[in-house]
Amino acid sequence: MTSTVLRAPASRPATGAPAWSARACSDSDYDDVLAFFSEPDFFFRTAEPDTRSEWEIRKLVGADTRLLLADDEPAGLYALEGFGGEHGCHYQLHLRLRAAAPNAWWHSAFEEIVRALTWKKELVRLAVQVGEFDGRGLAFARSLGLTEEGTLASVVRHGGQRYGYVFFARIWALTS
Amino acid sequence: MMLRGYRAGDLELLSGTWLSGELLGLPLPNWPVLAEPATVGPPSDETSELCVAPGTGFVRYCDVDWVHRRARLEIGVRREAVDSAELLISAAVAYGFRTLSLRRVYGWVTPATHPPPYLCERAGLQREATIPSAVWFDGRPVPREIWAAVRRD
Amino acid sequence: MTDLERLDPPAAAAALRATPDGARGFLGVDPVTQNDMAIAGELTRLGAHVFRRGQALLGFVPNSEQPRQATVATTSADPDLMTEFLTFLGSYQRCTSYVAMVPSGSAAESTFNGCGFHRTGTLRGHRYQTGQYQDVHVYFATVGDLCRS
Repeated sequence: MTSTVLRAPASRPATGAPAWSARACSDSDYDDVLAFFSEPDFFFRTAEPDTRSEWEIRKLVGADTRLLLADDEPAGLYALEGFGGEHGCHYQLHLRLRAAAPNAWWHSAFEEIVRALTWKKELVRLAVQVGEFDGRGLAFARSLGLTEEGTLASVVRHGGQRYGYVFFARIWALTS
Repeated sequence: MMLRGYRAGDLELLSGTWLSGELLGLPLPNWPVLAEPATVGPPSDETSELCVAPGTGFVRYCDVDWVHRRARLEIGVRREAVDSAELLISAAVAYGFRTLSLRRVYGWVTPATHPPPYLCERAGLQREATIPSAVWFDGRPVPREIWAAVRRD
Repeated sequence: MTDLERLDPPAAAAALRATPDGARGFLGVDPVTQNDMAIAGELTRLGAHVFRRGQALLGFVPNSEQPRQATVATTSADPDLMTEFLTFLGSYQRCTSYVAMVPSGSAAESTFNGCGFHRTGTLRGHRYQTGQYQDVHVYFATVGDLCRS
């Protein structure tokens, strides 16, 4: 199956954010994907990215994940999972950029992901879960102003200790 | 406007930045960088009839009903070929009536996409109905119209 | 609406066949020209949900492009039954607007008129039945329209 590259026709945003594009992961992208998971803090659906084997990474990535490209260079992964019935319009976002990506890129990627989703579907609630051990992820979620809903404590081991998952969400006003 | 059968090499004609399911699948401005393009599956069984106009786009007849002799029409036009949209629609209506021997072709037009005025009228289609809040587009639900052409027998 | 019985597509097809005349055009199917397997296949393809209440059949198809809207159909001429069904859809599917495609001259026209729908168009010659092409009227209502009726 050929993967389609999605790309904005024209101008680059003025803020210094890159020109984003995305595609479904094809076999030729897996070298980049495996390289992401070799980073010790690439917490994309896992608390131990750098010790995952290849089959496990393929399973974590799955059909719903998109390879994010910044100025045509692989920069990270994201996936949107629907929760409940179509009419609920609840989604959970998994987003991870590689370690070298500047912090500002996270905000810019999040905005473009939300914009693409709301182009075609109603969005009522978007949830993000971040491990307590994930400093970068927590800083990102808090800087976005997402509501911090609570922490499910002591559910995961990382670096020899127990940590919880912190739940963040944003709710949009109903328009339909 | 010549219509011919689909071949595997025509695959790129089947996706574009238009609203899915539209009668007038014309590329839209301000398409979000991460939104996937609308895609129509290559024909693989009898449930739909699809032809391509090389270099221009495709026409597809969905929900073909041989008892009621009607089908829902969709076209998709490449960005470089938007000036040929009128010819493509007219060819699509003519093919539906003459070759498929349908009595009625209809389709959905979403006014919020600002389709070129009079394109449907010039192809012989008439607006028959409006359904409010029928499709989600760019952050809100918007109305959709049903346009149709009926063959005079 | 606790006495609403959900029917799977084969059961729905059999129930539509057993309904005299009122089922022609129900969500676009026609028990006179289609056999049970064809009807069940069409209901499945549409993603339709069919329910029975007493003698009447009620159905809806969620709008995949706008999940807060549904196309509805009924075999009964009773507007109150439809209003109750739409209230059920409002609670369980979060529907805020409803569409009905009603063949011209069918009993369902008075049902939809009676519960607050208004006609927003007519599809010319959209169906063939009993030797001639029939128009299909498009009816629409929001949740607010239902309360006012």
